[in-house]
Amino acid sequence: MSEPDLSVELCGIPLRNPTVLASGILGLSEDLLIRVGESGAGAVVTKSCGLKPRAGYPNPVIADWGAGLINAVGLSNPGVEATAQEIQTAKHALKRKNIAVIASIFAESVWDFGTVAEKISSAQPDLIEVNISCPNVEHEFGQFFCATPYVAAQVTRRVKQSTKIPIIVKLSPNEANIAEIAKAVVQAGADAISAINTLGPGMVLDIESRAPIISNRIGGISGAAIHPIAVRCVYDIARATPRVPLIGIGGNATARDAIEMIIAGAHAVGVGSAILSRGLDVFDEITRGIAEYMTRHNYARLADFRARVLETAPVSGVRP
Amino acid sequence: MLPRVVKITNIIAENPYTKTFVLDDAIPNAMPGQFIMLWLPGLDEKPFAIVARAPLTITVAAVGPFSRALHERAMGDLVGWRGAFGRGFDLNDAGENLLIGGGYGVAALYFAASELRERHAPVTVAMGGRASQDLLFENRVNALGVNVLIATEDGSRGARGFVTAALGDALTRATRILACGPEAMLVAVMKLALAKNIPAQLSVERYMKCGFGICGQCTLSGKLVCQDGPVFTATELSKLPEFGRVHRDASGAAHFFQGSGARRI
Ligand SMILES: Cc1cc2nc3c(=O)[nH]c(=O)nc-3n(C[C@H](O)[C@H](O)[C@H](O)COP(=O)(O)OP(=O)(O)OC[C@H]3O[C@@H](n4cnc5c(N)ncnc54)[C@H](O)[C@@H]3O)c2cc1C
Ligand SMILES: Cc1cc2nc3c(=O)[nH]c(=O)nc-3n(C[C@H](O)[C@H](O)[C@H](O)COP(=O)(O)O)c2cc1C
Ligand code: FES
Repeated sequence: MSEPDLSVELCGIPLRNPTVLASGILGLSEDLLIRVGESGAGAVVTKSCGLKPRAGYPNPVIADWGAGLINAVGLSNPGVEATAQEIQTAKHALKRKNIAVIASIFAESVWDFGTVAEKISSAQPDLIEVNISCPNVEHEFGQFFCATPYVAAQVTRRVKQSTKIPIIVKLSPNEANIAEIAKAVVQAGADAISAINTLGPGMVLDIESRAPIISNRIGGISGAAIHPIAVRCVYDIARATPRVPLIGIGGNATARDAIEMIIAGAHAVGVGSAILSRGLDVFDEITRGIAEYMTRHNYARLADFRARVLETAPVSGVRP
Repeated sequence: MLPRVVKITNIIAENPYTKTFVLDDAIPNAMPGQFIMLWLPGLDEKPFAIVARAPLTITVAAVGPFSRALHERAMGDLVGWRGAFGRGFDLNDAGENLLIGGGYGVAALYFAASELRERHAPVTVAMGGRASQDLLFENRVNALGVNVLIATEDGSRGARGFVTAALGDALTRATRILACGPEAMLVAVMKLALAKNIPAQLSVERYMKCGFGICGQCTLSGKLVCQDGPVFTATELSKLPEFGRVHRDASGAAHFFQGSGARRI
């Protein structure tokens, strides 16, 4: 059999392999985006940028608690204008190598989401990922945009109206029913979905001083600990919106993790926290491992095993 | 790795604005040039070079809110630390070592000097400051039995001028340079080392958050100062366009260093 074909197409953008750098990990500068791309990723996502520069919370903002990470960075970013410049340079360098550059955006109001999308579009990223796991400052209690299908769809519509570039809406595992939200954002015009953002919030305490380890006290959990939850979310979303490209993120560290995601329904796989333990070789290792698996199973394309969970009858009809 | 929270066992005033903190812990495998993240619960967490392994020791100049708050701490107070992080100095193949330090950079070099002395390698330490009161660690370095050269900008001690003015024939003898100090000093040392063809290792600073290669905050032209550095060779640095020119703040926004005197030598 010939070499298996690991390429995928996300909303018309070809990726040489299905690995994607997750937002917020290393993607702070053009040089880092290029470095991660050249180390093997099929696409790279920038750190989420907003309307204005933000320093974020004081340190510690990220801690390694043993089975994963906890983070509350406070959406630090240099602002959409600076990020647009970084994207332009990165795109120039990565285009020749067929590595896609995805801009991640967030905002504090539904309206601002459109403004940020419009501004980032000037840099012509291949795709725009919309991070809705952030608080709406116009809501009385700062409710997250991802909290209800209604608001998630409002953001999606506003971003769609503000750009011609295809958009990925990134979903949170923490609110309502993720399949319901997936349906709502797709109906509102989302071209693709990525899931999941961090799980939680969680809390890690220092027992000597009794202080929370990260300065925001609570933060999102990522890494190996959340992988099974991410696989279940991807499975639910893929069944709710079967024709929509889906990037499966959450605890992917090995080819096995990535293959699981694809079987559950993912077109591409995001890698974030695993860079801590595996380094930048993680993208190549995952790609090689998927190729070996495909050869062993005689799969020519990723589509041959995507969204192919063996349907066994659940023991009871009710979820735990 | 979560921070370890331990007591401060000793505090030593080094000069009017610099104190050494000895912690009730050890960091047996740390190498000179590596750093820890020091945490004051409820306040912030910042990077500091390791000055000694056992007991774990750091030396801190009061320059802003965090370092000033640390200076207010007393013996017995709790602080957290995690590390050791980064790539330190490579001290193998000892030859004639010339260590060049500015400001609190001398403290990290003291660790390197004591390691080199244990290996019986010849060591010269050149230290600079604005005036004699800005000098640091002079007695400790002297106690290692190494050759010491001093420069002050106002000429109140040693040669007048930047630390590079004090080098003299130590530079011609040197087969290896180690440097730690403000970036303007590092740029001068890099140029000198490249011009004289002396292998040099320089310890660089950038704004840090995670300290372990995840956030990207400390990027120096795509190298992670917390992981690929903080020690880089002069050859490596000469290929990184941001070195000596651009640093990033907590938001990730890039700024140019102001002139060459961004921080004093
Ligand atoms: C690898 C490394 C080793 C260091 N070793 C020492 C040392 O041995 N002794 C010492 O006194 N200082 C050392 N520093 C510098 C020290 O981290 C800063 O002086 C300290 O963070 C200042 O915090 P502040 O709140 O007191 O001052 P601020 O007013 O907040 O800042 C003063 C200066 O410190 C820099 N700084 C602030 N926060 C950070 C951060 N999170 N990461 C990096 N730089 C920061 C700022 O960019 C500014 O230039 C080191 C820095 C690095 C990166
Ligand atoms: C330090 C850190 C920063 C993150 N920043 C962002 C961000 O800016 N925008 C975003 O959409 N997701 C962000 N995330 C979430 C990741 O993109 C990813 O969804 C999550 O970490 C799960 O994947 P992982 O287990 O592979 O890390 C961040 C995660 C971490 C650990
Ligand atoms: S400080 Fe986070 S990558 Fe270096």
